[in-house]
Amino acid sequence: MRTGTRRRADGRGRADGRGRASERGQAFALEAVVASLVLLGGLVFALQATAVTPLSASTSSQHIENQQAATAEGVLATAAADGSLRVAVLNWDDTEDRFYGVDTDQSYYTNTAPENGFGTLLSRAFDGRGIVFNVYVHYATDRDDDGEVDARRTQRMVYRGEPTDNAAAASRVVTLYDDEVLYDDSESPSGPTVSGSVFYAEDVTDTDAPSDTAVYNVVTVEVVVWRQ
Amino acid sequence: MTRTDRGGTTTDDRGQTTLDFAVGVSVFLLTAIFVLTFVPGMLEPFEESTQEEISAADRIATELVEETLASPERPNLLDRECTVIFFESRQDGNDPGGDDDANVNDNGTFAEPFGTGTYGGTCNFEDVPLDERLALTTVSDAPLNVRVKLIRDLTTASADDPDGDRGGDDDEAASLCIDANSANRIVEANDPGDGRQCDITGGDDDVLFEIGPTPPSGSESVVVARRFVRVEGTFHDGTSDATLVVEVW
Repeated sequence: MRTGTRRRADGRGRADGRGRASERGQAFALEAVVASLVLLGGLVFALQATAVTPLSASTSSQHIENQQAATAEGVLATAAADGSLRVAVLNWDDTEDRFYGVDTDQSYYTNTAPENGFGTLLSRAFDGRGIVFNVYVHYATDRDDDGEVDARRTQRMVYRGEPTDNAAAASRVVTLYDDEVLYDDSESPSGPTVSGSVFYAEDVTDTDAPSDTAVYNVVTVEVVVWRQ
Repeated sequence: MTRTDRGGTTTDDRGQTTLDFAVGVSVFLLTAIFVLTFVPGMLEPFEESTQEEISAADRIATELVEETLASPERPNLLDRECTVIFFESRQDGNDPGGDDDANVNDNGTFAEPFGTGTYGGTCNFEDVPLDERLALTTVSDAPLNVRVKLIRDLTTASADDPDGDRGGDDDEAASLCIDANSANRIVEANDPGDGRQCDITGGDDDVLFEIGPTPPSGSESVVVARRFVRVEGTFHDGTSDATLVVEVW
């Protein structure tokens, strides 16, 4: 009985064992592939959760942006202190309707810094360091001459293309007065007095209204810098 | 008996590992190794070891151009006399150089701080070591090292290379200095030395606009913060803008 049972168990066991061995196919390899997929899945999930790529923002790139913004602020502060910022804003060729020194069909500089003191400071600060910059002049408009600002419009001073996502910006306000005159290509104040017909920005207060002030317009000069 | 039975019923009696098992283990191990080597790189941006240096460099640079060397209401416009004293203080034991007419008479709106040739005056810092003046922490295990420089590429040959041994204007930015051999005007400190420009160890009372130890040239990372500034008065070439560089490591 015992022998029979054992023999039967033996026989069945052997049969099962062989059966398993032969029916298993590539089960171990399949398991390994599944386990690998689980590991890789976890890795991909972690990557998505942190979303760190060589281009994503980190403390290092933030530091670089901060430095660029601080440098731009310094350029504006320096230019405002020596008066060249005001000259650059008023360095407008009223016959050609563009900034002096522009040699393209546009009204703004496209591949060089402005040919004045402000432009010199800009190129000293950024040229040669792989940093490019745009300069915009935002000014107020008053279309119906009621002495109230309707909107703010933008005149490009330097435009070298669309800034990247990592661009930094700094801006500074310049107040223009009614007796301001335009500067010529040698940066001397020899042009006509500012008015809507000779300058890109108009007088935001009606010159006939009793509310007229000595203020002509308040413009904001914005410098946007980014790595090339 | 039982053991023999079990052995006989399974594959334990095989002499070699099955190909299936070998392939499976290899695939799994390769994946596991790949994942393990990838994870540290993934976390690297968060283990930024220069974190402290970055914030220190930015803080020091901002403090210098808005508070210590200038004033909060006119940031980035450095007071000439205070700037000279700031950089002079580490050097040759002479009285602050540049306290002569060429450097004081360009005064703008700031009061003249040169009363007795010391810190008595209106500068926003005390006569204390550089670390203390920059409010660097001393409790940390690894204290930060800082070097502050005022650099610029001056535009004329006589300002860029006053003693003429470097072939004139080199179009490269270098630290500025007040040179006694150049009538105490601010020139570039190219090739400093005894009898030449910017000799801070010799008898000349020159002032090099550079303070702090020299950064290591090895692999250690040095964090740099820059500020574009204007110095009261003018340099030897008639310009007045420069770049303040703060290096921290």
